[in-house]
Amino acid sequence: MFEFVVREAVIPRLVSTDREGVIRELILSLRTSGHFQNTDIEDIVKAVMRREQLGSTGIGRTIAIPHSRHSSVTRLIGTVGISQPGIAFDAVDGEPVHVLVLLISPQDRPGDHLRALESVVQTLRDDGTVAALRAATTTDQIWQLIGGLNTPT
Amino acid sequence: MIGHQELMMPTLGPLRKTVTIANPNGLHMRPASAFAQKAKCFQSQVTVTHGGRRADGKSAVELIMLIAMPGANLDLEIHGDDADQALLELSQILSSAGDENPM
Repeated sequence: MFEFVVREAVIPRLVSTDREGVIRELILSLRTSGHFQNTDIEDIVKAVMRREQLGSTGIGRTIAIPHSRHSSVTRLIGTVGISQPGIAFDAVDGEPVHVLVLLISPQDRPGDHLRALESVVQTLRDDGTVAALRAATTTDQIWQLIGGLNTPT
Repeated sequence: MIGHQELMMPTLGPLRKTVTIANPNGLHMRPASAFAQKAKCFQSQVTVTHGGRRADGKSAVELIMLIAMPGANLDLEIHGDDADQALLELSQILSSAGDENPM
């Protein structure tokens, strides 16, 4: 999963407390990585929210995977954010969401999107990993939990 | 209460059918959730296999893990009293193109 997560965009402590707020926070954070323009931000937020309105991407066990296609990206990118208080997300099990993985895919790459989704649910299958992500306080910890290696500085 | 007639019912084997994914984006989260939600409406056990992977049809997460691309053939196996109706309704979800905008 670390292959498509933009490390600099990971947010160990999300500040927003509602669904659209955390989605916008994650998209703004991805923007700083330079994969799309400032002018695309609101359009991407709208696209992800439109998708949420068709059915929550809260898959249960405090996890949500908000996502959308968008023409501004040339490859699939994602980021991870952790909410300590939890976000009301209308999730399948009705529980608040603490672990968010946001994905933005190019228009014409359905296979990449399917593989990314699989990779996310596979990584988060273990309750211990989800608990450790919720307890994580740094990007390094999150990066390691999603399979990335930290280079010593 | 189990009626006399039900006790006399012969045990039927599972129903099987191979269904091709018509959705242009494959079995992504929305169709997987729709499938699992529908499968939960039935008493029958629903198993979906693809490429050597097996998923409980009542779990959207397990269905996502099949990585079923557009055009992939999925093997449905349904076991239980309402298997007939379940097979009909569940195979329809897989063979429908879905509303794909947005995904």
